[in-house]
Amino acid sequence: MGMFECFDPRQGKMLCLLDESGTLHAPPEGFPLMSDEQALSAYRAMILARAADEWALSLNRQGRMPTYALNEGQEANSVGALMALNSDDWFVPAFRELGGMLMRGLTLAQYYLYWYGNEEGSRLSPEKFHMMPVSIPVGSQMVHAVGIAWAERYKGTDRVVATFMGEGATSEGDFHEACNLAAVWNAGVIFYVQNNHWAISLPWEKQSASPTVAEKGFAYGFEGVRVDGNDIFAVYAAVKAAAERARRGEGPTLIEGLTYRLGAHTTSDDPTRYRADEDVKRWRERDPVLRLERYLLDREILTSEDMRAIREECVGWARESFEEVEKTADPTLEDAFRYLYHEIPPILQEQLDRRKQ
Amino acid sequence: MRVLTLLEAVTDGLRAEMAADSTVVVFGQDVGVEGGVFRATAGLQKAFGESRCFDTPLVESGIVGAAIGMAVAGLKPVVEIQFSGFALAAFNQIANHAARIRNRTRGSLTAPMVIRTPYGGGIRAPEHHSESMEAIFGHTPGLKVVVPSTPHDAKGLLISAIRDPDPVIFLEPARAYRAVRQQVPEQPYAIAIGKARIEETGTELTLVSYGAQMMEARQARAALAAEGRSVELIDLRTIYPFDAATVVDSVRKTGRLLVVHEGPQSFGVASEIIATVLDKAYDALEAPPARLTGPDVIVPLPRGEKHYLISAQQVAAEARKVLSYEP
Amino acid sequence: MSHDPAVHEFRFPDIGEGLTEGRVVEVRVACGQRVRQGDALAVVETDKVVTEIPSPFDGVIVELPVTAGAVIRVGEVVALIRNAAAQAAPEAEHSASVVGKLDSAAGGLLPPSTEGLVPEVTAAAAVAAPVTPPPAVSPAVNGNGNGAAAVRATPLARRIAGDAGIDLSTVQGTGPGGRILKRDLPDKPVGGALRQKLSTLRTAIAVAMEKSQAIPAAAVHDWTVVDDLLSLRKAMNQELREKLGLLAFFIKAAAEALRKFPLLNSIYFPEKREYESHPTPNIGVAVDTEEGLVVPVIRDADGLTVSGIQAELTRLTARARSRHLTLEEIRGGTFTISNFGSFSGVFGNPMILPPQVGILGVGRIHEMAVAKDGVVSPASVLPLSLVVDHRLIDGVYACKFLARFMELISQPAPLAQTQPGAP
Repeated sequence: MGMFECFDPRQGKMLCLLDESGTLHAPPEGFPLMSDEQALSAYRAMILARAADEWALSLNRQGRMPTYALNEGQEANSVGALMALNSDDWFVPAFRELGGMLMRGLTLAQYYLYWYGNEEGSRLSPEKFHMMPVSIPVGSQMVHAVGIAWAERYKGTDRVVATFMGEGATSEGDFHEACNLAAVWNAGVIFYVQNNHWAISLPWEKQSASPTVAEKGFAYGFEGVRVDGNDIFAVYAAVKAAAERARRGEGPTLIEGLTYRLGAHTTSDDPTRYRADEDVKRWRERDPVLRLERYLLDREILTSEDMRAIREECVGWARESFEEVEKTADPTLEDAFRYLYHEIPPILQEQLDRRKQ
Repeated sequence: MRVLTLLEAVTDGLRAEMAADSTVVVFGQDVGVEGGVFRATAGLQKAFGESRCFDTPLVESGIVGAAIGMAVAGLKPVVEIQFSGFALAAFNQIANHAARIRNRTRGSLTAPMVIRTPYGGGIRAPEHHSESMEAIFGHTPGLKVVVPSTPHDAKGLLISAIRDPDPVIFLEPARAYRAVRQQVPEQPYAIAIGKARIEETGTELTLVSYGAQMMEARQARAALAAEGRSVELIDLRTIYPFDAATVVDSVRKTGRLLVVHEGPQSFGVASEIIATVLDKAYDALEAPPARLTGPDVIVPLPRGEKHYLISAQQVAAEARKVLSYEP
Repeated sequence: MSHDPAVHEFRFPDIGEGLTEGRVVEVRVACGQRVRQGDALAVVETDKVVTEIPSPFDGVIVELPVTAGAVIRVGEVVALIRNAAAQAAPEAEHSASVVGKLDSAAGGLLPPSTEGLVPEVTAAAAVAAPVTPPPAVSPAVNGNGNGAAAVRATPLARRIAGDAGIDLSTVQGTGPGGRILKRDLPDKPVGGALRQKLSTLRTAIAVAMEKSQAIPAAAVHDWTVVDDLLSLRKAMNQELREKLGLLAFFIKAAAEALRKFPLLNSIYFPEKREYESHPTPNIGVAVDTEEGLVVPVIRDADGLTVSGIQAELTRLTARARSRHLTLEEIRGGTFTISNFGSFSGVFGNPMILPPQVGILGVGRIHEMAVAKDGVVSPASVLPLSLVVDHRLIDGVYACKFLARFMELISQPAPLAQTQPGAP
């Protein structure tokens, strides 16, 4: 049977290793455990992501940053997942994976630059990043991931692909198409669904009649598992296991990270219009950062002083990064025309020349 | 050299590039075992194996989306959408990703791929199988759109399309697949995308068409030649970016223009060509530039198709009108 | 794949339900056998069914790879059949899979092309049909007969020119690249050589001049000193509100002289060889306007004082220039004065306005050295050019008239009479 059989979502099971009190439980047989070094690294990434979000929100309110998607509460999903991948495994994000992108080596300045409104933010050398840019049409990136996985296998590499989406994306036809193709082709894809409970204002209960996202995998012929998305150890373990399986040629896995969008959908959204404060409060107690901090303190890996220092450093880093962004030159007129084709065709060149007059 | 139909020339082109470049992979619905519902990919799976030419589940959007991923990862996918009308199901992936990823990532990630699809009516097929989509694709920045009308062009243009670093929509005129035959060289060769072809020179009227409609345009030109009229016949070959220079130079010479195509009139390819000619050759015109196109209707089912398709007689009649126009 | 276009491969079709292979139970035909469309070629057993495999068309079995008892996979060749029609493409018409019908006849065989091929190949592959030649650059033949193709004109300009019968090759275009625009056409001339129709007035003048040409005209030229006239005018103007111009004096003098020489105040009818001597002088005065020369008439000029003449002259000139002259005001002239000297010209040969018989041209007043009684001194002189219709007026008569006129001009006191009537 499957590697996740003890966590069959159809039986209401969810993989959880680090509980809310910060206590780490031993993983089941064959599941990898994140090392303390990795936990520390993950912590820094999560704190930076959080600081980045806070500063971006403030900048937005200052009128210096346009619409920005917030990651608060979901950091463990992409950070834990990317920690479990090789640096040349492909990462196909949606748009709420800041932590993962930082893990992949994207500078915060470049991340900010994208949301600031400059395509340079998505200039991603494939050899360096093995990462696709932010995908705005919901759910449309999953089939790309399937194609990439197929190509890597064709080329004879053992790279796998992790693609991210929200639970809302599972309503899109592309989700079905991607899962089906991945299964039929036995593609090495990890479908990671961040079920943060909210697709803007639509709660999970109204998004799907299925009790979990994870169990949908079985309909396609592969396994699905639900993990506590605020538990970075569980995320790491599940993704690592799924990646190894994909690398062995055993095909795709669907991982549902159950998490919560503590902030608004974007800076243009006001969640108080559609959800209760009590809900949010309850989930704040399950905050992934809080949980990890308790663990790190208990294990004396970090002191409170250390944490304060890390936080200060990250806050400063966020400010510096944005200063860099504001100094970046805006795209030129030529930039709007230069990247449509490998070589600008005469008809487009003429249009550019006319604009210049 | 052997005489091939347009369809066989397509197969020939695919075969040539698959042999030359191992990153070329061909997939789509029924293209592997069957060789395609029109047999365009016949023999390829046998020749190159299932890893190079294979059948997919029924999912146009997924086919295109997967191709995008493959292209990003360094392969050269050449996918088939069974009929151009069904490309609409994949339009989200085509327009929102294939056409955009180069611009989105400032050229760091690109989607070099080809979407081959038969288009156009006159094949007595059920609904949705006879659409002309070239204007919709041409109106989407970031795509190249190519339409051959001869076997020689089909092979050369397909080879160019496969080698092109940009996403190319390769529209194959279904009605012309087996109707047009020509000597096609055995070896591979490339015909540049973005260049029209002057099929016949003339002095009195520039007649522009493409794809299956070229068959009627040829007949009309011949009929007019028999009447002593000299018509310059241009095969557009590429819809985007179209060869404005060749068309404009021709109109400067003849002073009269007639554009003929099957697809609907409104916001169609003829409008674009005429606007361009007015922009660049206005004072050379002896008559208003004219277009003869399909109407803005849904392509009728086979019994009513005769009301939709443009005949050679209609082309000739319209050409005579343009030739005899006096201000 | 056979290169014989008539031979088709008939492959084991996917007859549905996930079929991938079958076992041949029975082969129903043999090589060389003629079959009709629908005839069973073989019987195949699959997981689900035992089925006949029918021939998709009429023809002759050329090859038969299948054997009874063998396993055949979907896509494998069942038979090679030479199609009886022997025209369509080599691929088997797989009616179960092909959607729509493809016509083999419509387009025909096209001439070959060598585009895209590298040079060596082109030479080697030379066949009878030539390469499509590059487009010939030949002068265009325009269909609407508007002259050389090089004429660039907007369609609107062409239309206007066509309507007006204007030859565009004679029109200078002021648009970009020398393009002829609507504004370049005669209605709104912008300079250059234009052919235009004469205006109404011009036509009238032309007609009159052509008629005048028929008059046997004789001219006599002389000059007279006008210092005294100038002084007289100056003195008179000091007291007058409406200033007197020299022309008024000339008109007065002419009117007076015509009383003594009434033949010059006649109307001549050449067809009848009759003339009518008019009782009073109606002096026509040539006035230059934007449109051309008009000649309003000062009636009964002898009955007017110089002031009266000036007043009338002023009035008529204004009306002439504003194009308000009535027919009455230009008809009935009996003698004309043409004061051309205000710009240039000493002597001239003004043209008689028929049916008049005389015209006096007044040239540019200028200073000259005049000898009188052997003494040379400067004086202002007035050049005069009298042209007469020699059919009625002889030279002596003309000269006598001119002498009288000159006498009145050089000793102008009588002209200043404030009372009308003979001096």
